[in-house]
Amino acid sequence: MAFKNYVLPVVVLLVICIVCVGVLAVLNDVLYVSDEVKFSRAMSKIYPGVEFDAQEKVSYKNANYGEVTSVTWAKDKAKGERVAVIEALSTNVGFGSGNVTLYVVVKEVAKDGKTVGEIAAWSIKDNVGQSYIGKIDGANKWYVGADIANEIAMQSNMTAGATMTSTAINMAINVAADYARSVAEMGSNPQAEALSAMVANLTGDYATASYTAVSTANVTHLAPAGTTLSYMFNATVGAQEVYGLVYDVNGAQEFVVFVNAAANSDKQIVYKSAGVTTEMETAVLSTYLSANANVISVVTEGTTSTYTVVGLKQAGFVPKNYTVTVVVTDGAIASFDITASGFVSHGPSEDATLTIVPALIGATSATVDSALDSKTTGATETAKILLSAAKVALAHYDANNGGSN
Amino acid sequence: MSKKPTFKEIALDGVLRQNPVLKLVLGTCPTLGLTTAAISGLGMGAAATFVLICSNILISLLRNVIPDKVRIPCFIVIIATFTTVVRGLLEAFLPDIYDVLGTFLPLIVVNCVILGRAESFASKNPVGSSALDGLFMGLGFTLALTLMGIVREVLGAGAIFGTALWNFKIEFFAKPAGAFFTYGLFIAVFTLVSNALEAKKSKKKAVVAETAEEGA
Repeated sequence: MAFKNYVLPVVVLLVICIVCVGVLAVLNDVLYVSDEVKFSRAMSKIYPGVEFDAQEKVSYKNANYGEVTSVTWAKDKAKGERVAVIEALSTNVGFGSGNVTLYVVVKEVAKDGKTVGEIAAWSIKDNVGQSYIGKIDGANKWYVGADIANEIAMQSNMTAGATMTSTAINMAINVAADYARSVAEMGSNPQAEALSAMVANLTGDYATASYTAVSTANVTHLAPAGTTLSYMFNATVGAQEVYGLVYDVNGAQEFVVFVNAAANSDKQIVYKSAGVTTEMETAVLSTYLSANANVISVVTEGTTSTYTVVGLKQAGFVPKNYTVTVVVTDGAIASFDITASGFVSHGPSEDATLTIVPALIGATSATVDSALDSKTTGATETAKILLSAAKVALAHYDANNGGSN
Repeated sequence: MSKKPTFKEIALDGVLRQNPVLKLVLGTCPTLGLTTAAISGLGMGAAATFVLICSNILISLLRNVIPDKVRIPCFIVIIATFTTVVRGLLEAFLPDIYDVLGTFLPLIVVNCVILGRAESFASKNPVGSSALDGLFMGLGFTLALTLMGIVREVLGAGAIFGTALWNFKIEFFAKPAGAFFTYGLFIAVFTLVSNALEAKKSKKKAVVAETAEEGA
């Protein structure tokens, strides 16, 4: 009786479980779909009619956009075009500091007598924590046809409801375009051509330095009216940080290469081409560029300096820059005003901003780091940006006024 | 012992009289979530029908072997196995449908229709009847989902089975609120029609009885 009541039910359940597990184990082998099959299925949807070669693992990183982990080559036999499928991973600029991995199809096409590279298709392979990715899926006509010769701008119509995921997708598209242009040498590469033209005018260590491209998105203040900042390059020469700027002035390329330094006395223009105007020089010399905030202008009267600083966007909930006006008197912050906010939905509350700003008043270089202790709750990312802006202004003041208080 | 249901009874119960979606209001989760397009409704219905038929057959075969105390865990294991099988089959051979069904596919395991039929029918009836019950319940489920999918796709996307019909669309029908609204409308229409048919049938029976009485 005990066997029938207690043992038999368990035995039957166990036997059913074992048989089911066995059946599933066999079927798992029979029905297994390999990564190669998944890849060719994805390609047949977004770029049909092409047979791809084996996938090649690569490791390419761009600090501004992200990284490329694999590339698969093919030739569109019908059109004779060279095609690359690039697996691109964005930096962590997505929602909740997550990222997006894309398959980006780049192809070379003949246009106006020259070969250009363009985005032919893309699809989402994977993502980390992008809960609104469903709003993007199926709408991957965005960026198709975009020329990879230059940075590909964010498509504003794809951001509604999934702004940060869209930003991550834009980063992944751009790193794929950068790889195709710089490494795979697809299409034209005006950035590399501009760098060569700039370096050809330099001498000594400045000519042999290793320049890397830097995004111009956060330094539009370097381009006065009537000019466009096409490219910016960065290099280290000895202990000096050097920036090379390539401008477009009425269709002609102009170059400015300068040593970036917090102290105005150390800042100098190393090279400028003939068409560089006084306004361009002034914009460069009144600027101090740093990783997290840029001083874009300084007005000094006696012991008081008024700075306009752009606190640069960072990963997290603040995808836009903050512009602030910082008045520093005798080495301490006398006033701190936010003139353009990076505030967006999911951003900090106004109350939190009102808590951070008063805490910075009176801070010096020595005390600014601790000024925001326990004042950042609910606005951590905003605090980081505003603190960077305050620190850059104070560092600039100290460098030009004989050291920290 | 209750009498063995006939083919006609099983078929009518599955598709109409006991329609799992429109009469019993079971399987609501995929009904609301997957009827934005006709093809996803059809795909979900077919997948659920496969699991229904297979699990009904196996449970019916084992009905005298499975002890009453562990019947529910046994049913779940069997249903989960067939759900995994259908998932593998779709991924291997119908990847488009697999992508469309997404997370709803593994959720077939907890579909009330399947466990409900295992418990109320397959565990008490012979294999043939159980297989037919699975088939017709599945057909009823598929029919309801596909019809809802057609209505929502036509109104919400101006297309049918992915083929564009016109540019006009009412986006409300493609959204979750539209799913509830359409589901409510379907249940209302289905109930109205079945009540009318029932009333007509009762009236006919009464007339026949009255005529018989008068004749006697």
